[in-house]
This record gives sequence, C-alpha cells and structure tokens, in this order.
Amino acid sequence: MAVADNGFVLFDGAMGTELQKRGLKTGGLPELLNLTDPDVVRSVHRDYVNAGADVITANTFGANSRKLGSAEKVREVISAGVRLAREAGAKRVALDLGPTGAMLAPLGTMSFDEAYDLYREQVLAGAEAGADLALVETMSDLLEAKAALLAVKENSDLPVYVTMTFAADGRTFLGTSPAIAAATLSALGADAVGVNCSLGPEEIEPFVGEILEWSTVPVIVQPNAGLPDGSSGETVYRVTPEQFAAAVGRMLDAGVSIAGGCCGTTPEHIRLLRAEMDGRTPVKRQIRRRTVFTSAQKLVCADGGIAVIGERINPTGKRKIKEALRAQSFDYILNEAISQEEAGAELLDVNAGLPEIDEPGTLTRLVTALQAVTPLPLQIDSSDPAAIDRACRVYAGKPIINSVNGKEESLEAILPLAKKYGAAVVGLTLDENGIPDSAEDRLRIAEKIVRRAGEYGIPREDVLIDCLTLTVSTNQRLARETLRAVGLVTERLGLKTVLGVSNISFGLPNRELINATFLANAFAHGLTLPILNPMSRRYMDVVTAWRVLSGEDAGCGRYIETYVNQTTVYETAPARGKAAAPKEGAPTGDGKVDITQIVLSGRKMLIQDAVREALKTRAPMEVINELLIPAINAAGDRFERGQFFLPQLMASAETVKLGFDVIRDSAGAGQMVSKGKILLATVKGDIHDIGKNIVKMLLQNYGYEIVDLGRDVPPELVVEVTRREHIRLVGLSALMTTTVKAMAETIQMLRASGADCKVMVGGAVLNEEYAKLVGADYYTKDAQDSARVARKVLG
Amino acid sequence: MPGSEYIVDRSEVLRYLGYRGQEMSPELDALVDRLSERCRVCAKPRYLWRVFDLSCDAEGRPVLEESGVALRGVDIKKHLDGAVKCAVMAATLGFEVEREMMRLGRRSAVEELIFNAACTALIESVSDVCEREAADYARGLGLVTSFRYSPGYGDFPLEQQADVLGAVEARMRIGITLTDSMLMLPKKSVSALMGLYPAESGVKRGGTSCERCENREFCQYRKEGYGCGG
Repeated sequence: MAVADNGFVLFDGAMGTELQKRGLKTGGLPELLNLTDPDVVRSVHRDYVNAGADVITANTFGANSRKLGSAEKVREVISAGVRLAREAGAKRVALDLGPTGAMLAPLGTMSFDEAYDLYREQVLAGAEAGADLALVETMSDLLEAKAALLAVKENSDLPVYVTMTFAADGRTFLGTSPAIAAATLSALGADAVGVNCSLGPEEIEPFVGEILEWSTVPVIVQPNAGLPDGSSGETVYRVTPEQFAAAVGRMLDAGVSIAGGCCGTTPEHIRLLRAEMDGRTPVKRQIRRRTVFTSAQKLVCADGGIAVIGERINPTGKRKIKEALRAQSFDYILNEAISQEEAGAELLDVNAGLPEIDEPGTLTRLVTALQAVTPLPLQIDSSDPAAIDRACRVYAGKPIINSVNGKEESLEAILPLAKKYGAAVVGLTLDENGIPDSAEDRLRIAEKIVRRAGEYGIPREDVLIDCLTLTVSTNQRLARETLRAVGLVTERLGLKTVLGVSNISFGLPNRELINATFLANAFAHGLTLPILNPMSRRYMDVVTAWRVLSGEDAGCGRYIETYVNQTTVYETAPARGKAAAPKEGAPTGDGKVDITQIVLSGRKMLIQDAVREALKTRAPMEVINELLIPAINAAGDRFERGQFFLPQLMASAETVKLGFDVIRDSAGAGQMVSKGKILLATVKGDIHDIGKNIVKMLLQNYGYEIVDLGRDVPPELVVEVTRREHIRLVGLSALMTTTVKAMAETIQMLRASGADCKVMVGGAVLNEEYAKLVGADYYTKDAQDSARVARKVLG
Repeated sequence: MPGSEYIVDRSEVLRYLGYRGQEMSPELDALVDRLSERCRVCAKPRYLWRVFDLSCDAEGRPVLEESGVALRGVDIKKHLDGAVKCAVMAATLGFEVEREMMRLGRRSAVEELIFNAACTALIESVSDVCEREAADYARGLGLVTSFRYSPGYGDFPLEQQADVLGAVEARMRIGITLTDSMLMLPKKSVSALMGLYPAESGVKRGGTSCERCENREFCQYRKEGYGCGG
C-alpha cells in the first residue's frame, strides 16, 4: 500500500480521552479492554470511522509482553485490537506501537535487543491479525523508535509511520530535536515521519516546519487538543474542534499529508479535519537532498562546509587504547571522546579493531558508552562487517560507516548494512588491484562505488569518497594524485570526500607541518570531511583559516573570535584531565614537603612538575612509596578525624593520581608501576555508580590498576574479565535493595567459575551481615575502607 | 514553570557532601559554585501534581479514586489516616543532568560528587515548589497537606512506584520512567503522596519522616543526628 495513495490520509483521534468519557479510570492497562470490554473499544473506533477517518489505530499502544506478562497475551490482545478496529468498519487498521515503558542503555538498563524483541512480538501478532500498517508513536527516545522501526521492517511487510513527541523546548525528553528525528528516521526507511502528542497544534507548528525541512518522506502530525490543563485534578484539553482543524489545515498547506489527533481530540475534531482535507489537494513538497549525520542530540550537515572527524579512538599505535579495549574498561577512551569534542571535532571515528578481542561485542559496547558522554555523531570504523552491523544497530542516529571499497566482496557485505541502518558510507578508492596511482583511476572506482550504492538504494549524498593518502616520503608523486582525485570526485561526481591526513608524513620529522600543508591543499581541492587529530592546534588552525577563505565563516566572525587575543604556538594540546603545568612556581628541592602540601591542598596544577622533579633523584617506586602514598595517607587521616570532608579527600586523591600518571608515563610500557589489578563494577540493574567511582579514584591513588566495567554490568562480563585479566580482587556496588540480589548472583557466578579472587562489596543498603549473606569476603563501609581491603588482599 | 523559583542552595549542597565547617581551599570553594551553576544550566526541571479523591477498598486499603490504584501497607494507610483527598506529585531534573554527570565522572570523581549533590539540592527545591503549589490548592479547598511520602518509605512497597507514577502519567508528561528494579530514570526524580486533611484535624506539617524511612538503619545523616531533611 502506497502512503497517501489518495492524497491525504486521515487518522483517528484520542482513544484514552474517549474511554475516560465512557467512565474508564486512568490507571491499569487500557489495552486489556480489547478482551474485557470490546464493545466500548469498538464503539470508540466506530465514532472515528463515522467522523471520516481513513485509518483506525488499534488499541495496542502498550500491548507488549513487559506490560502484559507473556507473548501469548500480547498475541491475544493485539489480535482482538485489530479485529475490533476492523469490525468498526475501518478502511485501514494501524497496529499501534508505543514506548516499551523502560529506558534503553546507556541512560537506562534495557538493551536494544530486549526492546527490539518486545516490538517484534507485537509486529508478528499485528501482521498475523491483518493490520494494514504500523504506527510507531509518542517516542521520546530515538533509539527506541529505531528498535520499533527495525522490528516492523525486519518482521513484516507493513508500511511504518513513526512519530516522536516534543516538549515546549522543541526537544524530546531525551534531547532529540524534530530535525534530528526527521533526518534519522527517514534515512532508516520509515514511510512517514512526524510529531504526535506533545502540545497543541499551535505550539507544534514550528516543530512541523523543521520536520518538513529535513524529512525525505511524507510527514505526519497528530497533535493534542492543546496543553493538558490538569494541575488540580482531571485533565482538560481546551482546543476546540474548529481551532484544531484550522491549525492542522495550515500544516496541510505547508506540506503535511497525513494527520490525525492525539490526547484530548474527539470524533468532532476528526470530522472537521476531514472537511479541511476534502477541500484541498496535497502540496508538492520540495525535498532537499543533503549530506546529514546525526546522533540523538546533534545534527551535522556537511553541505554547509567542513566537518572535522576526530581520529583518536583507534588502537593503532596507541597503547592506552589497546589496554582499555582489552580490559573493556572504557574510561580512557570516553575521555578521548570528550577531549576531541572540546577541541572542535564535529564527528568521531570509532575503531575497536584488535585481533585478540571480540570486536563486534567490544565495538557495540563502546558505541553505547560513547553515546552517554558525547553528542557528536559517530563514524563506525571497522573491517569486520559483523562489528559494523551490531554497532550500527545500537547507534541512536545516522552514523557514517567507515568503510566500503571497490572490491566486489566489500560492496556486497557493506552496502546492504548502510542501506538497512540509513548510514552514510565512506568508499575507499581501491579495488581488487589495489590503490591505483592515477587520480583518474581512483575516480573510476569512486564512480563504481556510488553506482553500486545506488543499486542498493543508498542516495548519492550518503556516499563519501576517501581518495586515500599515501606516504609522501616513499612516493612523492602520489601526494599530488590524491589531491587531484579529491578534486575530480568533488567536481565530476559532486560527492563529498573524506581524507585521513596523518599518513602523508610517515617517516618524516616535524610531521604536523607536512600534514597541515597537505590538509590546506586538500581543502582547496574540495575536501569536506577531514579525519584528523583535533587536539593538534596546528590542524585546527588550518580548519579555522580555511573556513574564512572558503566563505563558510561568513564575516570571519568565528575566526576573529578564536584569534583576537591569541598568538599561534604549535604544541599538541595536553590530554584532558592533565592540566598544563605552569612553568613558574614549580617546587624544587627533594620535594617531600612540597608534595604532601600540594596533595593536601589539592593543587592539581603543581603536582606534575613536583613529581617530575622528584624523579630526577629517586626511583619511581621510591617516589610512590615515600612521597605519594604518605601524602594520600595524610589526607586519609584528616578525613578520618573529620578535618577533611569527602570532596577534600577526593581532591587530594585526584592530585595524587596526576602524580601517578607522570610516573607511569615516564616508566614506559615495559616497566608499569602497579600494585595489582582490581576489578570494579556496579551490578546488573543498578545505575547508581557514584560510590563506585569514588572507590575507584581512591584505589588508583594507592597505586592499584583499576579495571572499571561501569554500571549495570551483567554477571557474565564480570566473570569473563576477572578470569581473562587474572584479577584477584573484585569490588561490587549496589545502591538499592532491589539490586542487591544481582550482587549475590554475580558473586555466585564468580565462585562457580573457579576464579581465584576475593570479593568486596559496598553500597548504601549493605552492612557487614548483609555482605556475608550475599557471599562477599569483605564489606567496605566507605572508600577508605576499600583501600584497607586492597592492602590486605594485594599488599 | 519559571526557572527562577528553583535554587541550588549552597548550604544544602555542602550538607549533602558531609560538610561540617571544615576550612575549604579557594579552589574547592569555587568548584562548588561552578558545579552548582552547571547543574542549574543543565537541568530541565519539570513537575506535576494531581489531587485524587480517596476511597477505601474491600480490604480497607486507601484507593486513589480516579485512577483505581489501591495503596498497600500499614504505613501509607497511617499516613493518610483522616485525609479526605490525596495529592500525587512527581518531579524531575531531566536527562541532561544524567549525561553531564557521566561526562564529569570521566574527568573527575570530585566534580561528579559535587555535581550530584547540587542536583540533589535542586530536585529538592523543585519538589518544594511543587509541594507548595499543591498545598496552596488544598488551602483553597479549606484543607491542609501532610509531608511528602514516597513508595519505599516504611512498608509502602517500592513496587507501587509504577502505580503512583502511572496515576499522574509521569512518563508521558514529564518523562520519568522506571527500570525493572523500580529505579526512577532520570535518577534525579521524586514521586510522593501528600494527604489533604480538614484544617481542624490538627495534622502535623513538616518534621522528618525518619521513623518510616526504609534507609533509617543505614542513614549517615541520621547516625550523625542531622537527618536528611526529608
């Protein structure tokens, strides 16, 4: 069935409001009325049929097995729901799919797969019952909307319309704007996208404008009959049918082709809207094709100029990232993401490719974790199609896939994934014969990639070409060929190009100079998506300057703002969390007194120089045992005596940690300073991890290496990492009485696995006795206490 | 909901951090101010409340009339003893503070801790505004309200969180969801019930609810004799 095949499509109005009118209470599950009170449900549907609605929405909004208890019940309720709509005389019946009611990871605890499975059950039931289309509606979470949309597309042939609901600030409760929703969901293959619920028709008009601007598919609106006016008791909606129909009528003129009502609307609202539709023909919308990438909170459009892709989340040549990936302890990587964002990156490349790890699993977990700490859209970078598949699946937005190339095998593996997930895709100009020397031959491969992408239904604007940078010191002629290829692809094919610049200078001194010069030239040839290290001031200077020369930085405002009080000095910016040490005021002498004072006063600015100074005359272990540990002990004593409160102890601990970082960096990879590894996790189902984070920081400052698995950690992962990393002390936290049982389960699994480790536990609802009950070896009443346990177990 | 009504009370922030008058460095002092401001910027406070008629089911449990929710446990029954109506409120700071807390936690546990305390102070302030609104409404009916009582207090089961939030459509209207273990998300959210009593009934306003709190055994504030102010 085509969308809007007879011009406009009119949906029905509110079910809940009508049920309340018929005496139903607001609590409970209204979907169960399909079984217990079918006549009432059918009569509401019939009123909407009589009002002229083309589509009747079955009473299945919350009919998932999380709420109803079992898949059989889901089937029963949905089957009855679709039947009742049909019996009421519906021309078409929509299977209604609302939110699951749970929040997805990373902010919540439900996994993408769990949400998908709930929707899959509903879709199978709805298709079997004979629904004509699916309506995914009232979504706040873009990822949940995606789960529902994919569940429909992968388990049925039903057309699927998706609407999200926005608050007065123009965002969903999770921060998604109408533009982001429209761009992402149309790329994912929704048959219509739009807005429902939210507010009244007047209030949502600007949202509808945004959706019309960014959607490449028909647009649907289902507003409320105004704002709920419910502070004192019953909810009252004040927009009259006349006002409603007039306001929605204006949206029809603006390009909306599918409309209906949400909360507070009645058959009369729908009847008048029918009249509005009957008096019009749909307007022909101008659909703009633009290169767009999104996360749930940010839209980046590459048509307006350069968008910088941060390259640093990649284990190649980076020891700390390798370690983090092996241990599944992502803090370091998440910090790299935030640092790159702060340095001006607009997208982040994410690569978790290490031969010895489970790349699909690791990349998927990393992509999930990254979405909690950065709003930047991601470029999912892997040579393993399975890893790309799974990571794209859990990504809330429209990502870039890096990459496909001209080889048949690659095209066949990657292009279907880009299509399925509505992703943009980077095409490398190489094929079975390797990388051609000449720009013309690279252009030919680019042509082939974009043609093949088109055959899979991927629009041209979503194909980005990487003309490939080769090392200039081994073949000087080819640098120019790469630049020429960028020019040819830009001009002849009209495609956007991606280019990693760092390889150009391999083997040469002062690499940044070569890279920056190459970058500037690539911009001149048309490059829009450079992949680079945004922490390099020099590259970002080139970017800022080119934006002036290209006209992107209109009026040079951004440039002036950046440089008005700045001179350029080419040093790589310090990593996040490591404040640049001031040159003056660094302590001298043997450092002992200074270091204790620095630590007690929490002066992070001074500690690194003080430790460097101490390392000149002492061995690293000596600095740790004679300077840093006594200093943190002194802070601990003050805390115990009540002279410090917790933030003071922690500020001291963070200061010591910076000192440790200096020692680790100077000791090098072969000579790591560690008193042993401790695994920390907040157990499955619990997301209160602040206590665990405090423990972690403190333990780090006693010289222990922490493997932090984060929060809501499945027991299996704790066991797997404990065994693989030969962990001898595991610390678990839980805050709620309801999640302590997950703690017991984790300990049980650890014991059953034969892992040779001790377990300490902590959390607000635990005590000595309770800790024994869950099978722990140690109860820790606070962070200081955990350090005592660590000393006992690991020395 | 004008934002100026809500405050991040510095002395409250410090109290949540366990401050007992220690001498603070200027850096720490500034950090508390900076993170309190950050909290104010990131938070999107939303709240709602609704007054229900109270009735009684066959087992003698109080029932929120318009939603049909029966409230379980001896303690909530005691709390609502003599009440003629019941206000249900829910308040939240939204998800942006959750994200910000996760970002801060990657950089610094101290910043995370202080930000968390600032958020706790703010959600309390938002809840107070909400409570005052409901109390004003009650006054208009010639009624007075009791203090806020939440699922999980005493023997009022945490599992009823779903019923309480459902009664005011908190998910749809202000975005509060529940996990399977009954945690509210966003974490900085509050749900509570307040009885509405005839003014002459002499119901006690304010005071603490320690005796009925399920955390009373473990509560650090209580051990130290301060109380959490709840």
